Amino acid sequence: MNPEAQGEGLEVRGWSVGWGGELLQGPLDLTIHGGERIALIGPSGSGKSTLLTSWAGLHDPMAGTLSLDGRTPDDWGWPVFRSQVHYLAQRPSLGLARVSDALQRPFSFESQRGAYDAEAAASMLEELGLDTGILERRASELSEGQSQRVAIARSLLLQPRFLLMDEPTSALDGESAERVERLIEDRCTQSGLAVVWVTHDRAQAARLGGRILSLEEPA
Amino acid sequence: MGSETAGAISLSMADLAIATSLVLVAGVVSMALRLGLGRTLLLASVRTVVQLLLIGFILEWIFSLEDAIPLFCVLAVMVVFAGRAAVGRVERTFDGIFWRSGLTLATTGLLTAVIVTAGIIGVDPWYKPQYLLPLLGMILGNSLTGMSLCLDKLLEDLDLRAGTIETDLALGASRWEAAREPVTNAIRRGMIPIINSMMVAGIVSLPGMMTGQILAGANPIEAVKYQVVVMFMLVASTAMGSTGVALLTYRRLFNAHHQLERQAIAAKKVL
Repeated sequence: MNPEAQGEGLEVRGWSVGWGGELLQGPLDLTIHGGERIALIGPSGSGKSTLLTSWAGLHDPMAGTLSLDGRTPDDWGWPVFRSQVHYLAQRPSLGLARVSDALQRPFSFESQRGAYDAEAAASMLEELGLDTGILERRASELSEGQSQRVAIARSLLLQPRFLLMDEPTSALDGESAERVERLIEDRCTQSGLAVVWVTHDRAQAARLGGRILSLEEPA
Repeated sequence: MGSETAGAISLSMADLAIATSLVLVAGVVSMALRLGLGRTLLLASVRTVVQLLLIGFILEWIFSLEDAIPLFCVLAVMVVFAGRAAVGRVERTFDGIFWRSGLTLATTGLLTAVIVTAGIIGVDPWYKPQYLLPLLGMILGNSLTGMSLCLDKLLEDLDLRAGTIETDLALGASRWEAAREPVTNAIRRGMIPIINSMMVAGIVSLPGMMTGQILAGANPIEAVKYQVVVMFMLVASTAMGSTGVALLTYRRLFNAHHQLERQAIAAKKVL
């Protein structure tokens, strides 16, 4: 590997997570490079979500260091770090307003540099198999599958460098799930997006075509 | 009959005895209708007389004090009780909620009271207990209600809408960007009671202090002027109190890593 690329990407060292002093996973070392696809599999309760949320800096680990391009979240500023390393929840929250408001809201955050592009939003929703009429609907009226896809669109529109997805297609049928897979794959190859994808579906993990990281039952 | 001296009509013991017969009317009604309230009425009447006499003597003693130190001890006790009451009926709690509410009440309450005694009424010295004590009492009483409502709303929102807040954080929001809406909504909630009473002041309700001054022989316009000062004082202290406690709570529940410490919010039983 090119020595200049040392420290490039998202890097965790000696990473241990748990709740209430109880170790769930770790210590763990992992480096995720731009464009990479990683499937994270493991039994329920093995700490997949906890790992993802902690890598996105949403809570602190029991031990370990986290860095992006060799700089810690403290160096970046936590909001700026998280604007590049997104966590996408399995049951995403879109708020109470309309879908278009939910898509626009994050662009108002200081850490976000880009501007909301209504056309890009509409075409992305179509790529995900959603009718653009959904933009005017209240987010609370959406089905779980629609919410998951709107949340994926919201994240991609913000163009993060790393996307940590927690079973993003769990409420989707096979065809819709494959649309999501294709869209993500495009982003990885074309714009260097890196994803960590939590899934229970080994076939999906294989389809992603990258590394497969298998967690064991916590001790 | 009372005897008139300089505006206020002073009441004799005989006058109080006549007032007692008013309670007896209620007692007779209770017996006639078998309401079973006789003992309760007796107890309530005795408590009214004893409690008020007690506070009367205490106030008489405090007003006679030349020294400020015992006065400030009394004020501190008031703040502690008000701080406890402010968090008492809030449905959720967190470690350190009490000192935050007490600190907010002490600073915002005293600040407002001093502005009124020293700046507006022009009392000398500014801590003259006859003025400071009842004013601070009104301020604390109103502030604690506002702070209580504010805390209840804020903790409820941070608890129930934690998913939305963490989504914002996950998408790059700073802690303030994620918390601003719950915080401002909570402050607004805390301000509702005092704004309501300002809206209907004089139409639906005659504020107690004004009524008291008029009964004590004051010119109604003079009484109104005082009441306006008091209303503005109360809205200022409630605004500062709600804002103060909401911001201190925000600083406690969102850490330097811009994370929501949702596990710090605990549910509790409210009587």
